[in-house]
Amino acid sequence: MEVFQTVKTASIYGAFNARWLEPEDVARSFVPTPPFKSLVRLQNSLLMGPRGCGKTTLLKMLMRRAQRVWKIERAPREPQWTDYRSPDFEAVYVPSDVRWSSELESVSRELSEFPIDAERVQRASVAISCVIEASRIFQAIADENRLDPAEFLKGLIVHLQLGPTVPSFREVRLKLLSWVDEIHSGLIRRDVGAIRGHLDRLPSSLTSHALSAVTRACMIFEEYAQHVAPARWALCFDELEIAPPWLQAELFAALRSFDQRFLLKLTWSPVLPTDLTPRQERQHDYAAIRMWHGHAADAKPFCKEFSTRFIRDKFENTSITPRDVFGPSPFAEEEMDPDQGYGRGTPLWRAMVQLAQRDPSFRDYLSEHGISPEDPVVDSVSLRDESLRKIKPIVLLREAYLKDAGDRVIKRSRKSAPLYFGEESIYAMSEGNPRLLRGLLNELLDLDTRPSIEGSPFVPPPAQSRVLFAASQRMLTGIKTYPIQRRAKSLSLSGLVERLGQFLNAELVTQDFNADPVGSFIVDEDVRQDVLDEVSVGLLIGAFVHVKSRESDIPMSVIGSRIRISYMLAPSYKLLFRNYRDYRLSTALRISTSHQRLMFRPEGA
Amino acid sequence: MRLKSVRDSSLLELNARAGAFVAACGYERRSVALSSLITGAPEGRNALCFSEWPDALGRKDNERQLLERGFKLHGVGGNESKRVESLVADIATTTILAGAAVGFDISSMTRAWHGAIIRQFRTMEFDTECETFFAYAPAQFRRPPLRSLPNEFVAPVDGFASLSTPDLPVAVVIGLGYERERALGLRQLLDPEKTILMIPNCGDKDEYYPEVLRSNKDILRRTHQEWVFEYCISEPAATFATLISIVAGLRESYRVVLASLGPKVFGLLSFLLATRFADVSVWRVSSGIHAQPREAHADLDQLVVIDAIWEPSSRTTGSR
Repeated sequence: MEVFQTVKTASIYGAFNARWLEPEDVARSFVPTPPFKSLVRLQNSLLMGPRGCGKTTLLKMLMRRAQRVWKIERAPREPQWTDYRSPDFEAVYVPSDVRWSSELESVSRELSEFPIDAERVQRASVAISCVIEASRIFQAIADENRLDPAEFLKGLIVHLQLGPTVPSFREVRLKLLSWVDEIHSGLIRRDVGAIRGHLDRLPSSLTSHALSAVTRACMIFEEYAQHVAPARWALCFDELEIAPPWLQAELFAALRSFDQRFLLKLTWSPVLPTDLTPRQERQHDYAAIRMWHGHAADAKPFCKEFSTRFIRDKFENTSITPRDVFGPSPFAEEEMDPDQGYGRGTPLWRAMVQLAQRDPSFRDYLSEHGISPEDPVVDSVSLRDESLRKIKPIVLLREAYLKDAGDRVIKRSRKSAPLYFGEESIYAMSEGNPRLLRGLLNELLDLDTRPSIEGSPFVPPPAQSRVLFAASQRMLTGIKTYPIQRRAKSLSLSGLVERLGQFLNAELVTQDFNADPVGSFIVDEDVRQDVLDEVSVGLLIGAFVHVKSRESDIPMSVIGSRIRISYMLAPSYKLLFRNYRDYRLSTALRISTSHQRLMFRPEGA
Repeated sequence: MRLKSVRDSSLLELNARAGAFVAACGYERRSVALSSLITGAPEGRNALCFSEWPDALGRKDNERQLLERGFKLHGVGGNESKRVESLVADIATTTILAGAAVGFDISSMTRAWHGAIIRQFRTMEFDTECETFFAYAPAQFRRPPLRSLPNEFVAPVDGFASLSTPDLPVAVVIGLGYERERALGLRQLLDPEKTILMIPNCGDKDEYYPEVLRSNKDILRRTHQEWVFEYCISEPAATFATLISIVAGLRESYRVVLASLGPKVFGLLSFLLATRFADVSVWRVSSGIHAQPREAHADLDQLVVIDAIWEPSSRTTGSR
């Protein structure tokens, strides 16, 4: 059998998904970000962002077990985080995932003729899961305070109507799980009578409002363990965006009015559910916390901190930096010595001279700006900043992917020197998404590194470029295979991404040189509903990113929002890590077909 | 009923003991190949006919051949599980009460139908043991389609969704096929903590094997070698034992999902296994309306027959 090199995940930094990490390990690898400061406030919160953007990490960091590690192991040694305070509430984390969500959804299919029973089954499952998670918190508080939980457990058994149950946390949880098993057994047999019988015998709190059972359990704890009970609880529901609609509706309604002792910390996709939360109430009822970055520079501080910790953990070296291991990206504009970066004979100077020889539109651009195409040197700092610095990434891209063919310029078919590598490229492609960043770093560092001139481990650019391109392609696969029901002739998400990716590539590479190309799209009112649906899915899974203009800018609906393609897809479509100017999406889609015809002119045609 | 045993069997045994035989009638020629070898069950021959693509490829000719061989035809949608359960209940009850076994040709059936058949046996109750035969004729080798189809349906099969609370991480056991990107897409959607890959390999002459490796290169590279297993489709009992061993080990620490993207015999074994472990989910990945008819001819030299014995549930205790 062919042997494949496997990806290793050797440490807590290597784990791909915080959901599977224990809270203690989440705390050990946690890099605080501004959203966490908002999340710990005594208010309801809606954590918004695409899959993998770190919502679960933040929710888990609210938990007692994570906070304990933070306070003991991290805070004393890392004074730079002192302004990140701990929560003044007891967090109950209610997990969820695609598997569970799909299984709850399958109950509706199984009992399609009995929708009320189907919803009651889902309610019981959710309520039981909540109480089980709360019981773990009660147990942790009791253990930490050396409290005998017997009286509380007896109270819980009585008031939650658990029936004859040994008063131990384990037995309480097993009893609750046995009820799920009984309902499941009825579902397998499609025995609605039996299911209904089980549901009718359950305590009413398990099949009523989504929060009834868990809040009652917390209140029982408060009564029986007054001296150790918290003043406030935070009920943290993960992955609410894929939860059953009734659960979404009830939790959003609870944001507006619920018992003041209970805070809600919910996760959601990047677009606010306007049908569930009227706009005028948002500011007062809850804080919407955005978990994505519209601009590459916004994500850089987090990425740099995370990558530094990751690399130092990996190489057991406390001074090594991501710059040592990956070098700078050729697209990076800051930190460049103007004379070194733009002067005569530099790589950029050479790229401009070569491009100007082959690309008449670029030659014209230079001439129009008073820059010699044969010797593009600019002495004026302002002109240099205004012109050369701005066009540098476009020049590098065009130079790499264009070649001349007589009187025309066409796409280059041969392999070019790698462009997608370096620290900034890795950060941009990760979108500041910890799961993506972990994945990229794992794969990059899984390659054989070689010592740099300074002696640090170094991953050569061609190797980085291969890994980043493969990651980009993998994301395209994820987009292509993401399941979605649609009409046969509607535009798929992958079709939409493909058309927009090619459109943007044409703007940068195959059309005439433009220093201010289109790089993002306004989702306008002329966009068809099926495309809007795909854009929503794309925002959820990270294929598209909402480009904000202000910190407080949260998209209220897909229509009207400004979006761009994920930077992760940049190597696949030969795009840059810039948003540039926006363009109407409906117009872009309308003309993209003709764009594609232009782009794919065969060589010599 | 509760699954008592699974063993390798033969067409000879099937013909000798089956009092009823259920085939599928679709557009691929494979769907009627095995019916020509069925000598038993003259009164109990039934075929589930796909409602979809009623005129595609060899469909009309397949119907004609099945009618000539004494099959009763029943129209059923490829995703309809309730109707299949109902038909199987009728056929199986009569047959089992008469002391005979029920045979199925699963080669051209959908996974939704496989699930419905197993679910029906799982939920029926008889006082005595009953026997089922599942025959599978692999398709003669063809290169995988160049264009990969979008996934419309990625979800648990009806009757095989567990309701386990999400307090454990997910492990997915994927039976790999040769369609590109399917497995990777499923993995990216489920986002499991652990991925176990099962690769069909029947030796040097297995033309599918290199294609499966090629089509799944990316997910194989991203999976620890210790979690990649090979199995031979002609040894279903051994494969079943391997699957039990893997799943039994996983379910203490994970919520297990089984997904078959390759040979249908692996999918059938997944359903049989899930009858033993109620906390295990079986998922399917389907292109739904995007799937296009594609010809498949049976390779009867590679015919596989599984004998599954069911016993009354009251004889044994349930699972976790």
